[in-house]
Amino acid sequence: MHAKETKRLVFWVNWNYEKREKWFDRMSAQGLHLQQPGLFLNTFVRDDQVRYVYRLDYQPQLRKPALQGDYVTLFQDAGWEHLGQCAGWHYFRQPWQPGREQKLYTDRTSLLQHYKRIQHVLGILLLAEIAVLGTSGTNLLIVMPRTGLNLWLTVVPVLAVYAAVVVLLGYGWVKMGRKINTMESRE
Amino acid sequence: MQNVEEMTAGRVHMGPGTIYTALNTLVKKGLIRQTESQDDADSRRKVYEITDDGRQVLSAEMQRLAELLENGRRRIHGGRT
Repeated sequence: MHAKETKRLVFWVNWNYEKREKWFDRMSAQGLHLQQPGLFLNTFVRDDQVRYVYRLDYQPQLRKPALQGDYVTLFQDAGWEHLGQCAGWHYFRQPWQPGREQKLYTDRTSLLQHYKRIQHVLGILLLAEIAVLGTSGTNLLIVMPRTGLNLWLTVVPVLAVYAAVVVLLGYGWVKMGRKINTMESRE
Repeated sequence: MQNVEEMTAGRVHMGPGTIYTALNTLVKKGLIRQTESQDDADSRRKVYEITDDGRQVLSAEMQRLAELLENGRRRIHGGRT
């Protein structure tokens, strides 16, 4: 029987990746299994005979397949299937085993390092985005009177989009920071 | 990973993310290094060996643990302190 493929449009924001894992787990429990992760478009295969557990690992330095050899092999040796990589997020799955903890990070130190890695990149993106907002804001406001760019149709919408990204990244950065702090204080 | 579980009679289960992080950290600290000789069966597997620094740190840690164990023994089995 030919497995039926479906594509679903899902957009996720980086820091709540554990929610993303749970969502893929729930989908799999319903018989829809992620096959090919994408930035927006995720491909699922329907099969009622299996159930998987999905886990994500952030390794932004391992985007090129040539660098992934030993990394992927290590995970495969541990029984995880590598589905692919998307924006530095590596997707793994293995058959669901009731009553067993199926995790990539099994101690606090390494999990904390994982969170910090995510927060670090969020921080860099946030700073870059603030710089973009600042420069394009001043540019647009200086250029506008000369070119006759409409304030409400052009300048404000563009700056609003940049500002929204800054808010989103800032929110993620703060949330991740809180998560790290609570974990560190739970000594 | 299988070895870790066997060595600890299934008590310690190490996830691959934890192992990958630990290997990178140990390499960065100079306690282990990648060997020249690759695993012949699979060139994608990296092989690491302990460095001299690593051996020193390991024996210091063993000494610390032995001391701890010795103190524990004295406490439990009585004897002179």
